[in-house]
Parts: sequence; structure tokens; C-alpha cells
Amino acid sequence: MTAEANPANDGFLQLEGVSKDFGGFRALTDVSFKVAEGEFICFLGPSGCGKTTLLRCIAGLETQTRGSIRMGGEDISWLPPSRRDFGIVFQSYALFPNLTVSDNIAYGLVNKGLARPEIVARVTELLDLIGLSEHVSKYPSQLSGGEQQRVALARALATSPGLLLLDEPLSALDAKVRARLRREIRAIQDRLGVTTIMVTHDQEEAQTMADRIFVMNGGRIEQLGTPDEIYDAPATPFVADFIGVMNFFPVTVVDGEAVTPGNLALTCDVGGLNPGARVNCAVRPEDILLVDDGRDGGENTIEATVSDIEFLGSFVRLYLEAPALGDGELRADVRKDLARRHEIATGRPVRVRIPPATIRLYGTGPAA
Amino acid sequence: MTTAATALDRAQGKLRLDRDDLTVRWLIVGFALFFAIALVIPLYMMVSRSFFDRNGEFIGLANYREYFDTPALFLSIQNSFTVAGISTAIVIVLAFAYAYALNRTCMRFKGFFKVIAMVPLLSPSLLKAIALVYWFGKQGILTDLLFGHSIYGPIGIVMASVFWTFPHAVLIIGTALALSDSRLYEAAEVLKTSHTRIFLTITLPGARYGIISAVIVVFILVLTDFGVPKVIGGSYNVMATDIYKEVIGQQNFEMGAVVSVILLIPAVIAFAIDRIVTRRSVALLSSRAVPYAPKPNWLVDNAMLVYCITIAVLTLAILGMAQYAALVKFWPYNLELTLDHYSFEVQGAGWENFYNSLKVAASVALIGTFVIFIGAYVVEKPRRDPVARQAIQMMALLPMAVPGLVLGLAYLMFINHPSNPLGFLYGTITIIVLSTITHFYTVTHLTAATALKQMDREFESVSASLKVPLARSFRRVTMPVCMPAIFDISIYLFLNSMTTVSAVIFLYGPGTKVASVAAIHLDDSGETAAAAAMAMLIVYACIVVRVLHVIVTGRLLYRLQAWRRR
Repeated sequence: MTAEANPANDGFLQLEGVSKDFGGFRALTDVSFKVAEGEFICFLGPSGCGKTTLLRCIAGLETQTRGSIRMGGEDISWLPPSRRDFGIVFQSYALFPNLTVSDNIAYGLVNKGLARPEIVARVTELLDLIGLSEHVSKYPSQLSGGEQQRVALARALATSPGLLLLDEPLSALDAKVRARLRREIRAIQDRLGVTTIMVTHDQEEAQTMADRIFVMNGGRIEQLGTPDEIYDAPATPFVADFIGVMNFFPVTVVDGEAVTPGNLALTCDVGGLNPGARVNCAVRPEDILLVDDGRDGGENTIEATVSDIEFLGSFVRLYLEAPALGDGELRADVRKDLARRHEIATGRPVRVRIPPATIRLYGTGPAA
Repeated sequence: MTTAATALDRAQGKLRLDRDDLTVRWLIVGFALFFAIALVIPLYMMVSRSFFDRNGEFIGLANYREYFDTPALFLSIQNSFTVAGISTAIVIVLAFAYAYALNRTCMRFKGFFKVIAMVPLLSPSLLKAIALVYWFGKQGILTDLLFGHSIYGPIGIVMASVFWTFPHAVLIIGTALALSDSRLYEAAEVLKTSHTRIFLTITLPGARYGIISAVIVVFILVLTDFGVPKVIGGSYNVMATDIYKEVIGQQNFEMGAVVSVILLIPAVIAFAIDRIVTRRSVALLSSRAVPYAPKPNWLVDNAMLVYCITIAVLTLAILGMAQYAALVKFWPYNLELTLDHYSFEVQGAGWENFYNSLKVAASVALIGTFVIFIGAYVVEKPRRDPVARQAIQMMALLPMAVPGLVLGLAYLMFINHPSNPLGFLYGTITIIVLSTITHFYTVTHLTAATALKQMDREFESVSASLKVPLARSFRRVTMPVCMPAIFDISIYLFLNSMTTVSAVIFLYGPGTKVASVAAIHLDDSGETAAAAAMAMLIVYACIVVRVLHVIVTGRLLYRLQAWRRR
């Protein structure tokens, strides 16, 4: 797929130094990236991170204060939305309530001067695509939320835009519908090959749908990469904390090792950090392993006490007090059968091991 | 189009505008022009006139000094505030009880009482005054009930004002009482709260914004009303009649302007308070509130029924008396029925006044609805030019604060100004229509704005992405969806144009006098029965149009709004 091609070479959509101020508030700061044709991109971040503003700048619904936007080789920075080539779907569906499903889908087609039969054919084709053929003459209020959002998608795709923009399209739907629509939208996108940008605050959504995720925070892109890269190698503590669950504890770099507040030396890759640097150590809960009683844990073994247990379906999350790591709690995810074998209970002392390869060190804390 | 686009490119730096952006700009310019001519320039001329003498010399505050040095004029302020205050107090209590009965009890015949309460809206305020004259005047039926006091004066003004402002108060308080959260009442009952305490701690506070708003609206309506004190005020002068006397009686425009400014001040302050209160009340009720469903209570329901019957009887007594008076040959000596009073064979009055009224009301309803809805659209929907659009909105809110009589006088000065190229409009239907649209602009603008706000914010974004021109989306989606509001606006404009007196009394010319003004003049020259007949013509027209409106819009909405039904 084109997404695997090097996007740096063929930037279908290219932003350079885009900033946006609202009065005194800076919503976007110096955003630059390239998107290849056919890619599925997710802007992911907490509310207020600027992801929707960025999407609206690309659509022309907001005008950037600085920077340029190019699409298909053309500078579109200053064009009004009506002269840009995109389709858009909003969280609120924004279906025209007084028009039937087919009239909604045909809304942009009528304007292109197509003949009636062509319009009908196109609408039928799109209704097939979204699997709502039997609802042609219904009004939006007669459809479920998921069905309405599919109609909105068809309406946006009707004119075959070069770019599809999705603004939190699934956030208003309930969990089951959301999960199904995720796959449907992705399948439709694969079939049509339309370059797509989706805004979401749901990391699971981003991870299941996107070719690449742009994690945003405070008006900047913190990291862009494939879902795997983002999860396995978060570039900043913010990304590490925002994607999945992450333990943080302070350490000091001494002789190529990270020394904890309780004077325990952890083996790990300290990279280019200077000795004496006070940094934050990040470990994912699922990377923490239980050590069998009576066996030697080897390097990075930590004594701890179970202070609380949460049952989370297929695994249990242990809250551990480990004096060696300081005041904070350490979260460890353990398979159910393992937890049973170790007779895990509140108050039980355990030993856990952190494999050196799973430890990441950051110069700043997660709140930065 | 291309040249305009390039010019704008330059003005905006690099930002390019599409056709829709330009359309919106032209509309903004159009509305700026509209408000300049219809509101700002006339008001400015009126206010500035109060600082000049008859010869056009600037004399600062001398006119104001003269005003406050003239005890007769100064007394009017006190009189105006007295009758407005008393009327407001009475109306609010009566209207609250009535609205409470309609919204919070299981009283029977609610539908009927809802309609009856609105009947006074179908007639000009002066009709209530004329009817009161027949009930309580020198030769009235119930004059003895006043124990020697005269109906001409504060008593009559207060009574007539109570009658004509009652529906306004019921509407506003009713809206507040209709919004309620039954969960609050359930919580209170579970805590074993007494009925009195529930009323005092939940019902009353819940309706407080509505009550405050009603107080302000009624107070200003009475303070600035002209028809009632003109007919029944006798020698009890109020500010509104003073303006009329200064301008029409003594041709003293400068003093008329002074009184107008003084009348404008409380109106503006009250209006500002009302806006703040309304804005606060928005977030009062969460969207999750469960509407309150009243439970039957034999005592309360029947007491309320008796009360509402009393109000209904009084309302009908006023209208009935006006009708009876219009049909009686020579009150009170010859009570034979006749249609003679409807021939208006007296000085300058005639059926053409009624036709003028219909012409004005129809034009205002048609043109006004169109202009006001587009104005609200320009304020609410486009993305660009936020500052200019906000300015338009402020202009749209301003007319509410300008009393009709003040607006009328401002127009008179504006149109009569020697250097005004629009001077040829003096005395035409056009100027009457323009002033009436402006007079009733704010309420209708807010109705339209509310309807537009309820539509998805992103419709315009979607349309732009689909390359559909704004005008098409406006026709295809915005207008159909807002149709109920559009119909509401049109009937509101029609009824108010038929019944209003204040703005138009300064603006009619030969052949363009409207029925409400003719009724005032007939009453002025002692032709009270003919005045009643003329006022009743307005009532008939209003009833017919109102009924037609219900039927037509009902049918149309049923057909057009199929999408609202699930």
C-alpha cells in the first residue's frame, strides 16, 4: 500500500510551519508534516490540544495565522473551503434534517451539473458502499446514530474528493456501534484509496484505524509514527503517558545505570544522558514480570508489596508499593493464571523484574 | 466579480474569498445601510435636536433646564412612573396566577384559557381604554363602582394598561413556568417539604428570570404607551402624551425631543437589564431535566378554574363592550343597534384607513419577515467578518429599547430634514412600513436567531465542502427547517402592525392614515362610537388573519415538515 512508501518523497498534503492564534491564545504552534496519497492519518490528543483546529485549517474553515498548506502540489493556504478539494464528516453528523437519505447524499452531486440518471446511479453505488440501500427515502431522524454517520460519510464521499476529513466521527456513538464503524470506515477507505485524516481523542480508535498517528499536545505534534512506533517507542513522556498506561518514577544516571531513590541500580540503555542527570524512568505495566518464589530474579529485580488488585477481564492489575522506587505506586499487569499461581493477594510481598530493554528514560516528567 | 475578488484579496492580505463570502459582505453592507437609515441616523437627529433651539442654534442643555423648570412637564415623569409601577405590580400578580394555572395545575379547559388570554393582542391598546369609558365613564354602566372617582386619569390608565399588557406577561411567565424539573419536586417531597415551602423555594426561584423579564417588559410597555393615556388619561399627563402634545399641538420639536430622550433613558436601562437576565437564565435548566407533570388537586384546580373564568369574563367584557358600543345608535340614550358608526362619515376618517392598515400590515409581514430572517442568518451563520456581524446584531437588538413614539418622532425629524434626499418618502406607506419593521425588529430577530442557533453549526461547512452555494443551502435547508419560526415572525409582525399606534401617529400623510391612528383621532373629536367601530375593524382583521394563519401554516407545516415525524 502507498502508506508504506516513504511519505517524505510524495507529500500529497504538506503543511509547513502552520500556527494559529485565537486572540491571545495560541492553538497551533509551528505544525509541519507531509501526508502521502492514500494514507489514513489520525490526529490524536486530549481535548484542547489543537487537533480539531488543525483539521479545520486544512479544510479552510479556519485560517492559519502563519504557515502554508499545499495539497496535490497546489498552495491552498488562502483558499476558501469551497475551492478546496475535500469531504468532511462531523461528530454531530450535520445531516440536513429535511432531506431524505438519498437527497442528502446527492446534495453535492446536484451542483456538479450531473444528469439525473448519473446522480441516481452514484447515490445507489454509495448506498451499497455503506450498506443502507433499504433506507433511501428515510429522513435522518428515522435512522440510528450509526446509520446517520454512515450517510454523512457517503455524502462526503459522493463528489469523490481528494481528501476525506473526519472530525471525531465516532465519538457520539455507543461502544459497540463505534467498534463496528471503525472497521467499516477503514474498509471503505482501503477500497477507495482516498487520503483520510481523522481527528480523535480515543487512542484505541487511532491505533486500530490509522496508518500513521500524529500525537498532539498543546498545539504541537509531539510524535508522528505508525501505531506500533507510537506505542513501543514513545518519543516524549507525554506520548508515553497518553498512549496506553505507563509507570513513571524518578531516577539518577550513575555509571551507565539508572539509580532509583531507594538506591537500587537498574540496568538499562541510558543513551547519551550525562552522569548525575535526574531523569524519569518509564515502564509499561505489561512489561513487568513476576519472579517465582525462591528463584533468583537476576538484574532489575525489585521487592514490593501488593497494595491493591484490579480485575480487568483477561488480566489483573497489581498496585505495588516498592520502597526502592520511591513513594509512587507501580502498576503491573499480570495474566490471570499467573496471578493465581503466585497466590496474589493484598498485602502479599512479591518480587518483580523489569527487563532492561523495556525501560525508557525521559529528561522530563509526563506532565510536561 | 473578478475585480471585486482581487480588490478584496489585496485588502485581506492573501486570504481569498469565494462567492459566498462576497455575498455575505454585500449583505452586511446592505444591513449596515438599512440600520443607518432606519435607526441610527433618525435617532441621532432626534437626540441632537434636543440640544438646539427653534432657530437651529446650539444651546446645550438649555432645553432640558426648561423642561425641569416647567412643573407641568416635570410632573409627567412622576405620573408616568406611577401608573407604570402600579400597572406592572397588578399585571405580574394576575399573570403569574394565570400562567401558574395553565402550566402547573390540572385545571380543565386549559386550551380555551390559553386562547382567551391572548385575545387582547388582537386589538390596539386604545380599544381597552374606549371600552372602559363605556363601562366606567360619565355615562358608564358601572360608574358607581368607582365611588365618585373618575375613570379619566390614573385609574383608567392603570385598568386599561393591565388589560392590554396581560397577555405579554402571561406569555413570558408561562414560558418560565413551562420549564421545570420534576426531579426537584420529587426530591422536595421525599424530604417532606410543605407545599408553601416548595412553592417558595422551587417554583418561584425557578420562574424568577421570567418574572423579572415580565416586570421589565410590562413596565416599559406601559411607560411608553400612547394610545391608553391619550384616550382615558384626561388631564393626567404622562410623558408619552407630552411628546405628542409638544410636537403635534405646539410644533415644539425641540421639547418633544427632550421628552423623548428622557423617555429613552429608562427604556434603554430596562432593556439592558432584561438582556443580562435573559442571558443568565439560559443555563438554568439542564437538557436532562424531566418535565414536571402536575397532579390533580381538587381545591387548587377548581380555585384556579374560577380565577381563570373571572379573567376570561373580564377580557370578553372589554371586547364585548367595545363591539356593543360600536353598534349602539346613541349611547346611552338610544340603545338601538345600527351599523351607522361603520360608515365613518366624519372628518377624514373612512374605510380607506382600514385598507391602509391592511396594506401596511401585509407589507410589514412579508418584507419584514424576509429582511429580519436574512438579517438573523447573516448574524448567526457565516464564519468570516465576526466584528461586522456582531455590530449588525447590536443594531438588531437596539430597536427594543426605543419606544415607538420616540422612533416615530425620530423618523419625522429625519424625513423632514431639508437636506434629506429621502424626503419624498414623507407621508408614504413606505416610511410607515419601514418604521414599523424597525419598531418590531428585535423580538422577531431573536425568534429567528433562536431557530437558526438550533440548527447544526456545521451545515454551512458541509455545504462549502460540497461546493454548494450558500443561496442554495439557504433555500433548500435553512428556510425549510426554520419554517415554523418564519411563520411565527410573519403573524407577529402582522398583528402588531395592525394594532400599533405609537410610531405611525407622526408619520401618516394625506391618504395614508391607518385605522389605529384614525381611531385615536375619532376619539379625540368626540366620535367615540366611531372610534370603537374603527378599533373593532382591526380586531376583525386580526381574528380572520390569525385563524387563516393557523389553518394555512398547519397544512403547510404538516406537508413541509414530514421529516419531523418519526
